[in-house]
Amino acid sequence: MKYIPTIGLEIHAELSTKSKIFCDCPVGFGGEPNTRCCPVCTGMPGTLPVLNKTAVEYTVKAGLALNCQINEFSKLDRKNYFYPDLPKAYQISQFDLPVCKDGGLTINTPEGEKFIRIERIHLEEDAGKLLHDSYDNYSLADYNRCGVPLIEIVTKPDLSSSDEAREFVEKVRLMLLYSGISDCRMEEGSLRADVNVSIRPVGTDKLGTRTEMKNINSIRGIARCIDAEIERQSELLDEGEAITQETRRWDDNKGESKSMRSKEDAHDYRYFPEPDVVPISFTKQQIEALRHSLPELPNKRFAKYTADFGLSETDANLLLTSVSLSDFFESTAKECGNPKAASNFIIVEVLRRLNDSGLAAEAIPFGGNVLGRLLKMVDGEEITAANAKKVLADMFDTGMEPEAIVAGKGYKVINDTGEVENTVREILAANEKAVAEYLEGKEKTFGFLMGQCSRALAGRGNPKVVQDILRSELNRLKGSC
Amino acid sequence: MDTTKLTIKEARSLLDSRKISVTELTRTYLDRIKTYDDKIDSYLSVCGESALEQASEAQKLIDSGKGEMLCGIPLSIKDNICIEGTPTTCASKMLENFVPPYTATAVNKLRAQNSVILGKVNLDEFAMGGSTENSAFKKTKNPFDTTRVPGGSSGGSAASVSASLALGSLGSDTGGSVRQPAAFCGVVGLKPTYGLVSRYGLVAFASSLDQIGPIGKTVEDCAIILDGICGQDPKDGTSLSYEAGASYASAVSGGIKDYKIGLPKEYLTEGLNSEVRNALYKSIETLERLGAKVEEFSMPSLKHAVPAYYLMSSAEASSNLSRYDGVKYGYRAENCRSFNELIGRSRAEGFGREVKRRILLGTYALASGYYDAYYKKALKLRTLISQGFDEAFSKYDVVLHPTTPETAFKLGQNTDDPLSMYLADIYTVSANIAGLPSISLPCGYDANGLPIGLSFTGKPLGEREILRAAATFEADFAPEFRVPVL
Amino acid sequence: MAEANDYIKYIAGLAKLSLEDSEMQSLAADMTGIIGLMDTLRDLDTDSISATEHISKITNNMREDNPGTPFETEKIISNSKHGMENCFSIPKMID
Repeated sequence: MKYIPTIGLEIHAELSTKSKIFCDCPVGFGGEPNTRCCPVCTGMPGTLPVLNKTAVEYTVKAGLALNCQINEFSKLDRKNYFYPDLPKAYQISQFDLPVCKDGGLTINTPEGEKFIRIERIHLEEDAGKLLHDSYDNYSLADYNRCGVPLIEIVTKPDLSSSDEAREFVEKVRLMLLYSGISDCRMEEGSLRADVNVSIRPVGTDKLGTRTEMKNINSIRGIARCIDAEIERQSELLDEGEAITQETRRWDDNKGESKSMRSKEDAHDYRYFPEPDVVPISFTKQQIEALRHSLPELPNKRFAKYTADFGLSETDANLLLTSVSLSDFFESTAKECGNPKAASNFIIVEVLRRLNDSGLAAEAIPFGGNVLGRLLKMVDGEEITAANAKKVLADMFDTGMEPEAIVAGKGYKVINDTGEVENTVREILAANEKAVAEYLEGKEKTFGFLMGQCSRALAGRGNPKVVQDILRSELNRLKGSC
Repeated sequence: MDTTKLTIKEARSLLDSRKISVTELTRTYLDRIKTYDDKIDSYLSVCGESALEQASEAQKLIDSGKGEMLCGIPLSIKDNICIEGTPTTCASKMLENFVPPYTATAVNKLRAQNSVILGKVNLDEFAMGGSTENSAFKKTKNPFDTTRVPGGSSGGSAASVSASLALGSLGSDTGGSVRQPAAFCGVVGLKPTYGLVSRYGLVAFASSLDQIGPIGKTVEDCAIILDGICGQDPKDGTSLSYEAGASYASAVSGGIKDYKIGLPKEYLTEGLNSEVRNALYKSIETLERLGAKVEEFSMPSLKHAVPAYYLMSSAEASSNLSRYDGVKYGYRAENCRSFNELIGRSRAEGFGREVKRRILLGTYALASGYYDAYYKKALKLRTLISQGFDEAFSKYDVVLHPTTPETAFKLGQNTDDPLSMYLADIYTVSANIAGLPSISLPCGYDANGLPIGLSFTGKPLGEREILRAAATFEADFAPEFRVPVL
Repeated sequence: MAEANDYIKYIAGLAKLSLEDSEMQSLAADMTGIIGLMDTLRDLDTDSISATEHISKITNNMREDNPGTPFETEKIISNSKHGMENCFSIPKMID
């Protein structure tokens, strides 16, 4: 039988604040266990949470980037459950009044554009980590991650394939990255997702029983998990079996999910308003101020790159893969005044160098404006494109300014026609055989002579000027024959 | 020096005029504790050595003329308020060996003024109860009659002040836990406006109701301690920012001429013991003689205050006490093979019966399918009770009521009857529900010579009004005031 | 009564209190009376009343995002009876 999948996502993103959500312990990754902890984040008796203002503002920014409405009044609630990675045995989260609601993003599907609705974005605290490998009989609890601020982005069940889910998560990830509120490093677990999947036979309306897969921390994993779950549910229904509503754990190594029985009794979370944290309020003006503080987001940049700069969609997307690269490109384009040339040079030359050395755009040792000055020299025919590549290499290796490299290496194009004429005449005199062949009508020899001239000029001859002089000298010889 | 009548104010002037040294004063209290606390059982731990060190530091400040109001004043601290490096047990087997690596803000403030901390005093386990009999370690006795309870949950605080085993004390009040034991032990207890005193370092019972409050011999002593501990705290997001104004200690004078005082009719029920009722009426006559106008008013929502209070406080407690799982601190059951066994058994073995009752009630009130019928209903009553008080304070400067329906009962009398214990909180819980300041002070003695408490409740941040009313009454009552004979 | 006992069992499970049968029964008896008192609220008509979800009238009261110095690990685990490798330990979690 054919089935239609219905998929919803809960995306958790760690906010890139400097300190934790309820205490001033620093936020970080890795390190020795329990070294970024204090009595507050380890839930010691008598301690109290004090809300981090930046975490709340970042949540608002996430909502604005994802086209949400911001609740002018929101509050925190306690979600009660016992698990040893949660030292207070409750997670401070948001229940009925999240910071953001009713947003969404448009994604591209083979059938055209599709708007995926976001039901809510709420702020909450992360839990710690359990380590299982050291001992046979014990698990160990490390609370360094306890209290790292998280947002949870909850979609409506609007997705219907793993491809759509992948596209959506990638778009959300870019939006959060560009908003400057999260590093979205999936490999460090700073972006994770829970996936809800149900299927129903084609031609029916009633949604099937859904299952939830927890804590998937790669975009590829999300897509694989959805495909595997659709297949598992389809097989069950094909065999006439029922689907159990349950939470399952996705094992990315095995490519399969398993039922999590241990969380069965945790469904009654006994939410109630958090008495230790007073509610959050925003005025319309404050929300607008946060909106204005947002950097230009990738969807706007994409429109600008394609419509205004005339870049291809592929090139635009390539430049948008990281905030640093996109910012670098924009600054190069602004300085040299030629976005298309900037895009080509960056995609071909700069990205190749980065790929070869395994570096990210953040590691480029000079600013986009500096590269812009180099490209301006190419545009103004002050240096040749070929030499520009050599200058770039030196800029990467030495960090020197392009002007200094050009001057030091003598890359400056020779616009003195007298010097070119002398060189051309010397070359023609030294290559009598080739000249004779050309005069006999062998047009191909022109290229050889051109190459000889360029080499003699050490690449500094303006190719057009050299070509013109070479042709006129040859023509003169032809005439004198 | 007659320690049994000594107040903070008097001690201040003895210290400042060098008639006595801080060390002498501290030793006097430490000696009294050694002599009398076997009888009263108010202290869970005595910090003699550090108290004497603090005393000599305080003396230096006094000698250099830099001593503040509470400098060198020996105080006791309820054992649910954390002091770094000192066991904080909450009178629970669960926290028997817990030594916090941090200090409560209120204690830090007292120490910043160089108060002397004599030790930690007994309470009902996790501050749940009204007799201090729910302590896992000892039963504190009422200094007026050692066969009776001191009240609770701050029974150790009230008894230590009443028996002059400390000049003053910090207690905590979630539903009357400062005021009721103060009434039972014939001393003064004040619950401040919610948010006036930082809760940081107070082991949470019910976060939206808990407040640290002072217990002292006199209204002015309570005001002096309140001056020392109040103020916004960056470590407590519910602590209030407010205009400091003049000190609370200076608010006690001025009299109550033309004060309008309201008395809620709903409190004059059949449960009110006749001797307490007579003391109340006599107090009203006194207040009127002092120039106030006392008038009855009706506030029907008060009838529901007790169940609303128990739903809210137990719900919050069930969540606040979930952290005790045997993993990070506290009692850990032996030989457990799974997390579920570890947590289930640690909690079953570490908590006492009353705590379990509250956890069960609170879990029930929040459980799916019951939230609206119980917890949410209680929050609605919270609105009604707050509105009722708003209305009352549009007419009255303060509200007057008995602190308790009866005087101190016999040890063991109510231990098997949680329901009647809960109902006895009728007069005190509403101030916590509405976040209001309330003070209890002695207004008479029953036929057995047991103290009777009278309460004034004020509008939010209306501490000055209730302190003034209470101090004015207290001055008039002074000739009848008694101290226990140990 | 049996039904009440079952429900208390469920609640005790939710609250992670592993009670012995006898204690369960006697607590269930206490709870019957206490819940009876709570039930006096059930019939009150409060439909038009809004719930006080926070006792403070204030909002926000937040802290700035300034990181401080964390506590020494030793202090953090000092009250744990069963610390191992600077971590808190629990019987092996398998799920």
